[in-house]
Amino acid sequence: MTQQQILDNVNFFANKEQSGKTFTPDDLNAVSPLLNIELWLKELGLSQEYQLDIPISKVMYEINQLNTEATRKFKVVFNDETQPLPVTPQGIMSLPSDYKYPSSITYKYSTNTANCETEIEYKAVEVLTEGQFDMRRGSKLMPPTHKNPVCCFYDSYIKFLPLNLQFINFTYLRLPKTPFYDYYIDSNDNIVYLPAGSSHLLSAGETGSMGQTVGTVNSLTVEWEYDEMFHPEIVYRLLLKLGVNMREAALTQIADKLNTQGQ
Amino acid sequence: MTRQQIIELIQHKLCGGNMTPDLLGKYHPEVIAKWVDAVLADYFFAIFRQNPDNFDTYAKPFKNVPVLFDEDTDTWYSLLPSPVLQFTQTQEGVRDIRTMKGKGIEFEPIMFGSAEVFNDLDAGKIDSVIGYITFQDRVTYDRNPETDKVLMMLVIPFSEYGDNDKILLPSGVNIKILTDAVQAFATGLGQEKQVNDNTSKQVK
Repeated sequence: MTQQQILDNVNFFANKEQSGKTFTPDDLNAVSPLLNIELWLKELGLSQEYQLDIPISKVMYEINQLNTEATRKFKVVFNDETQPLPVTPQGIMSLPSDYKYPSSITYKYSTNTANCETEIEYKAVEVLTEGQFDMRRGSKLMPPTHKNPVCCFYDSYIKFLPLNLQFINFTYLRLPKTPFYDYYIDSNDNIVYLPAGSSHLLSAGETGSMGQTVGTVNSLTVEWEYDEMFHPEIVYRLLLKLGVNMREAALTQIADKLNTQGQ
Repeated sequence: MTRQQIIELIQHKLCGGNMTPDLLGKYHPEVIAKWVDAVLADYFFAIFRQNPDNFDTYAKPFKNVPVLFDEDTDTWYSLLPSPVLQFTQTQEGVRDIRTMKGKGIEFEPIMFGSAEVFNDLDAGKIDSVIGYITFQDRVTYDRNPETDKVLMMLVIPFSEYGDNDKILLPSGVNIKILTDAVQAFATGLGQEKQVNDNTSKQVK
């Protein structure tokens, strides 16, 4: 579904045209960034659902294939096929600027065999809390080794032990791109949707969404990155927000029901 | 099976399926290896008591172990390349020492203190057999072995094997050993502090 289709569905459910108050593109653009992050967080796991000492929520990252489908587009991969990330001699690997959540961290462990060949194994890096990391440094039973490397997350970097790992294969999740509905206003004051990648030469009396009155406007539209099977949920959640905004209790209740039951 | 395969088999059993990185703290391969050490050592001890001669099968060869001279004590010795399993006595984990080609010189285990007695005997003066005494980290020879390297056959703990070394488990008790290792590891398992919301962390 395009942004236009989503907006049409929201306004259909809300049925506000008769009273003149519709969910406008500007309203949509105002709530889209928040909804975008909400959906993403929901697929990762909501901490509000955690129980005491049990950090597990109903939906969690890769808990099933459906969740994997929801999040696979946002995986960013740095590995042997693309380019592993470098680790400094002090064991520091800088986090990429679009990093938001780790998916996997592995180390390519090479050994020489008796036949003078190189044997390669991919060793999972164990993620530790800072306390565990400090304890593990001095451990005699489970010391950090190339066979069993460990790491700890900090502000803008990850620290690894042992120190001389050199490269790490790292897969993480980025945020979905912020959706945006772009348009121009025609000479009859109608809002005309500009699909992603399109452009429009403004005629007399027409105005671009940024106030342009002449020239060609190139669409700034960004469609929702989620797969279309998740678009109904986007519509229901937008309705929920619309209901709260318009103080329409009935709308809020229906939207909540649609969202929790899926139909 | 190799050492790595045995550890992964136990991890698979403990996890009920695929092992995941965030369970490494709970089911760390080196920790599992130590538990398998303990279980296997008990089984080997039982086998050893029944018939020590059957034990050579479980020995691992170590080639080119240097023969060194300690000037302080005026003795010839070799450092053990690996810790050995101890049965009634440490030296029983050292199944054999020989020259690299296996010819010329014989090595025999002797008790601590016996070396001096034997060497003072007339027979000891002409006997070509080299006696060796096993300590925790070395074997000491009762005289110069006249070789700079030896081959040692040692029965070593499970945790000392390389990942790809094949492990010979005693016949007839394979399942029992693996089950006992899982049981020994999992019994009374404490609850790990849950600090990450990774999906595979489960409280058991």
